[in-house]
Amino acid sequence: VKILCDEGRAACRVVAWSMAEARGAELTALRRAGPGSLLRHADEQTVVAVAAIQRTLLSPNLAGLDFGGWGVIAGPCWPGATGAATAMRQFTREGHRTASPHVIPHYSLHSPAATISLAFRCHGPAFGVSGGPGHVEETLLVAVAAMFAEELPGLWIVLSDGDPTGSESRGRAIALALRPASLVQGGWRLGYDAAPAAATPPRATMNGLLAYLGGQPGMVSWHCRLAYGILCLDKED
Amino acid sequence: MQTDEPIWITGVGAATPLGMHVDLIADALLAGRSAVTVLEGRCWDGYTSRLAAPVGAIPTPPGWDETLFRRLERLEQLFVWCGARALVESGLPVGSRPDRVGLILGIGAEALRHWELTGVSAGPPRPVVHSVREHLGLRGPAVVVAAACASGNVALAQGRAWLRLGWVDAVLVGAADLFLTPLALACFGNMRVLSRRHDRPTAASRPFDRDRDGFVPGEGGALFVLEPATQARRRGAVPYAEFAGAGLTCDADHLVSPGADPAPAARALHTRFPRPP
Repeated sequence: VKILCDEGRAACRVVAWSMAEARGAELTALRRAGPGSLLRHADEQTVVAVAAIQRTLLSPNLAGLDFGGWGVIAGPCWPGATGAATAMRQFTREGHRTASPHVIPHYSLHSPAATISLAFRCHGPAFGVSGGPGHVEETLLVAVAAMFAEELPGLWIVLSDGDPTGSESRGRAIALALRPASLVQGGWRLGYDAAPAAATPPRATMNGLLAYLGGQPGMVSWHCRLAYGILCLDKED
Repeated sequence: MQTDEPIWITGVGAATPLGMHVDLIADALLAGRSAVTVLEGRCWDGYTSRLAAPVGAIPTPPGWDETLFRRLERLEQLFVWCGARALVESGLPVGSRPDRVGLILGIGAEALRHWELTGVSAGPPRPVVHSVREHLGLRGPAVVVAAACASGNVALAQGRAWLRLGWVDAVLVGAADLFLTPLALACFGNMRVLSRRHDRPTAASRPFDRDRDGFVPGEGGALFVLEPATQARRRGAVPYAEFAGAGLTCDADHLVSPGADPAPAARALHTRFPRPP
């Protein structure tokens, strides 16, 4: 079933996307490749989020654009677990004097969006969404509303996950460049229809989104049926 | 249905160190009372700043089972208290269309707080927004937003957008935090951002003063019921205020300090409230 996205006032389009995934030494390399020393203390999910945006910026659909007015909405899933685990062990061992001042700015829900806005000098709204297992649907829903409410020229959406137990240093992120439908053609339409769709909805996942964006055969649209509405991403024929 | 009509605040629930009811909080503020105190106890020994405004025990909302309420985690209690109060005050008939009532919570450090209490290896918590939604009987969209100290403002702006887009008939929005934990205070202390005016705790919080020496962390929360004015008027609701607008920008200058350039903040203001001609 192809579900068409609403072309109402909140209509917007994903004009470019990319993903980044890293662990261990690869993460260290990405951390060093980041702008200045900005990623030195950053959480794994922030590091891969910045890398995913850097890759997305290579898209010809974004060539020549000024990103100064763009917003940033990052929807990580349990960000900061590895760093928080390390910080807490140190705190238990050594007490308050050695507690890292980097814990709150780098391991909180707002941290990925804040770091991205700094890295790419985006002065639109920058904030985190969800931080938990509903991060895909919550972030896309909030992004559609923010595009409408803030009348933005563009918005970076970043979805990410990592190891929620904090025992392994790894991260994965998808970056989506979102623009108002009134300014661009092509790409994927992102929309939300507020009509109850499923009593017990399945969770939207990063894997499902990646499969659709990556062109998995047989997927004509990506949609997430929720108890209160349907989120969808599709491409015009 | 999309609408440009005014948005009203028709219910407020709050829990702060100054009180658990809006009237009490307003009276305390107008009387110039401060809830800032010096934290006592061995766990705070040696801290460079022990100034804070902790919130006391969260009351059980009327009609709720005391034992069940006390079983909730404290952050859940705080949100449920604020949400239940706001909904009762607004008189909103949630039960008739629960799928048309949304929930947007601003929370600065849900996971960090949980991990400090339980340990990271215990795994992630059940998201507070899901349990609050369930306990309040809401079935509409529910999300958490976080922009550090501006999380509540982001929640309000997002709630207004949902109403204007016609996604919900009403939305419960606001923010809360309970982050006066040993690690959090140590981290803020080592960032050197906390006031050390221990000799005069009630005069320590003075954000725009020439002699300010840092902020004072506090606990608490507030939730608002937002709804379109026509709907609220039709059912006889009395507004606290009209939510006139919101503009959001980011300095993109430093992770913890405000930028020296006031232009982004000015733009946030003037996009929604243009300068008079």
